[in-house]
Amino acid sequence: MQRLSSKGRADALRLSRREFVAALAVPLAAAGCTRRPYRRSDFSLPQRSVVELLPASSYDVDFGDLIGRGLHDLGVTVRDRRVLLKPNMVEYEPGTAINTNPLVIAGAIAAFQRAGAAEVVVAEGPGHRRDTEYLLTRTGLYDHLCDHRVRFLDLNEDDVEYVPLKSNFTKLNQLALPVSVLRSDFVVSMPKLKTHHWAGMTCAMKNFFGTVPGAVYGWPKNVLHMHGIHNSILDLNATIRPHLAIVDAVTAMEGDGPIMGRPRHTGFIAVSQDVVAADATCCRVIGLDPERLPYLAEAGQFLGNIDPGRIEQRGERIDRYAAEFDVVDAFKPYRLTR
Amino acid sequence: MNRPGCSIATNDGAFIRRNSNGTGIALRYLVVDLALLREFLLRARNADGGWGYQPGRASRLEPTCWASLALGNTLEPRVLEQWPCADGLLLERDRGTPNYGFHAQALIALRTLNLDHTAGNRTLLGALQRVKGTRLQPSTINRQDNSLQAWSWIDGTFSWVEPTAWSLLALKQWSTVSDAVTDHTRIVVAEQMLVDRCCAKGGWNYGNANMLGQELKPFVPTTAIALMSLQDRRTLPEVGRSVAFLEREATSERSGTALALALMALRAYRRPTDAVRNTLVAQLPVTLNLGKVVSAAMSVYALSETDRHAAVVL
Repeated sequence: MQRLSSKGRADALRLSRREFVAALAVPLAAAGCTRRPYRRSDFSLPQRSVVELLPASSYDVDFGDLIGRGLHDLGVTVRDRRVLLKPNMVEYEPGTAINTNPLVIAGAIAAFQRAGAAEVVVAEGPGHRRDTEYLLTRTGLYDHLCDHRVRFLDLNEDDVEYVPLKSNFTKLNQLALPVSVLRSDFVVSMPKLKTHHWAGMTCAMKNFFGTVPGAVYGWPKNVLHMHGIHNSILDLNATIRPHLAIVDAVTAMEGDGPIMGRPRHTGFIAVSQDVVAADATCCRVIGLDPERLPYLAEAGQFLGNIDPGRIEQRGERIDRYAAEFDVVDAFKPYRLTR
Repeated sequence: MNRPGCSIATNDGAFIRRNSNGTGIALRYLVVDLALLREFLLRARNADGGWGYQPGRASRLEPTCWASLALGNTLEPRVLEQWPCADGLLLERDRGTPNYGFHAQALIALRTLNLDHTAGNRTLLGALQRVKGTRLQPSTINRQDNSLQAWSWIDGTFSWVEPTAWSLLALKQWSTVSDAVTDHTRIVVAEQMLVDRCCAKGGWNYGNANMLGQELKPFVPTTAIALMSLQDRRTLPEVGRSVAFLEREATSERSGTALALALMALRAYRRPTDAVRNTLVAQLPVTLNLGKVVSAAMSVYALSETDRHAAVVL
């Protein structure tokens, strides 16, 4: 559960929470004044990104149908492709909203199987709880995996390959990543929408911290924190290039997320082939300004769209779900001016 | 994923059967066929002699340590003796980097199995004692002593409960070997760190006991490992509270790893173990269905009646 400051921050004076969060953004602020740490030719922003908000007033809806509808509306094709679903599974605590709900994951499995995927697997490498067997059984996801005959891959323990980073905000140059992620045809980020006490928000992009193998980097993947959370989010997404986001925002989390926050009913599933646009939209829903969140502001320069003028909203309107989520003090200045 | 174990755990199947405990009392006692668990491990073994985290995966240090402990030192090749090493530190995998927690587990396995690494066990011990977690400045985000430098998972990061506890256990075990040189100051710091990070009501989280003003909850696996490393410090109030936590919560975390570690720790403290043992046996079909080599190997080791569990007893 520990979240740590970097070596650089360690050299600083005694840190308060506000100073700590501010320090996380420093490397990116500096990067704004200099040459970007990626080749522009490797990336191109979509002319337009579609984000569909699908209503789900509770977890009683048929998520197979709902997500299937989203895939159809977005024109997602996965026939004969190996699909890897990456949910957010961190910790189990009854009555909280920490993890992607297993019913949403089961719905996605059904939707992709119906869409003709060659294989669907569920993969996660928790940065907090090392014990995925405990998490799978306690959350109930294990039973759904059995019912759908779907494999679970523990990304903390998968075979790994060192891959060069496509952007290098962290200055790590390369990371060991799980071969199951690298060799999948279609990677889907399936986060729980939550506020986050170090990053502001955790959604489809931050979710890829769970692909970094703990057996190589330890738990809770200190390397990522020490090289900057925002930097790490960018490098992971630039390198993995996920194909789709399916966000569980039926019941989200506000306050001291990603674990100690409070559940907040929101009532939708967001689907988009642009994970940056999905995050920007969810960010606006919870009342934070994506232009001010360092990782999203930078991602909007090369990875995906955050400009509402380039995001086509389908399904339900943002206004229907817009709320002002409680955030820790450090992120109150990041609030959206509505 | 199928459900091979769902019926096995509740009937008289080949893998697990329910027996009377032989005393005439109505207590039901789950009996596990350890030979079948060992067979799972043998089949999961790679051609290079090591084990991956799942069958078919590349050999890694942690599963190889536990599978070796579970199966004993009669297997050839004795892969731990030739495990890749750099500057006295075992690599987490071939051409990988060291992981100090797993290096400590390997030292425990080498001593328990009476194996000699080609670099020399004392070289490995010396290397473990030289590495330490990063020192951090005091912070207001949590209540802990950041000056304590115990053991991190990997180079250049902060000290954590799990690698510290495995390292502490390894050092204490090796300190009883006549010609091994152990640095007592490292043992003292590791104990201070574990005491410092003990949760308010006993037990251990992964790192600190509180964050941003909130008390954090302890976990079964980390608590079990920390307690095994503090067996010789039973009078510490933190140890007493933590044993009480483990006795209370040992069966609340259903996984092969959590239950096997809890079983080993409670046995080391001579506490009742029937409940956690039965829960572990009932959980094993899930463990095997997930292909968890470390959990299966820990379970074999914990459930074995013939071994004195020398790896985790001081």
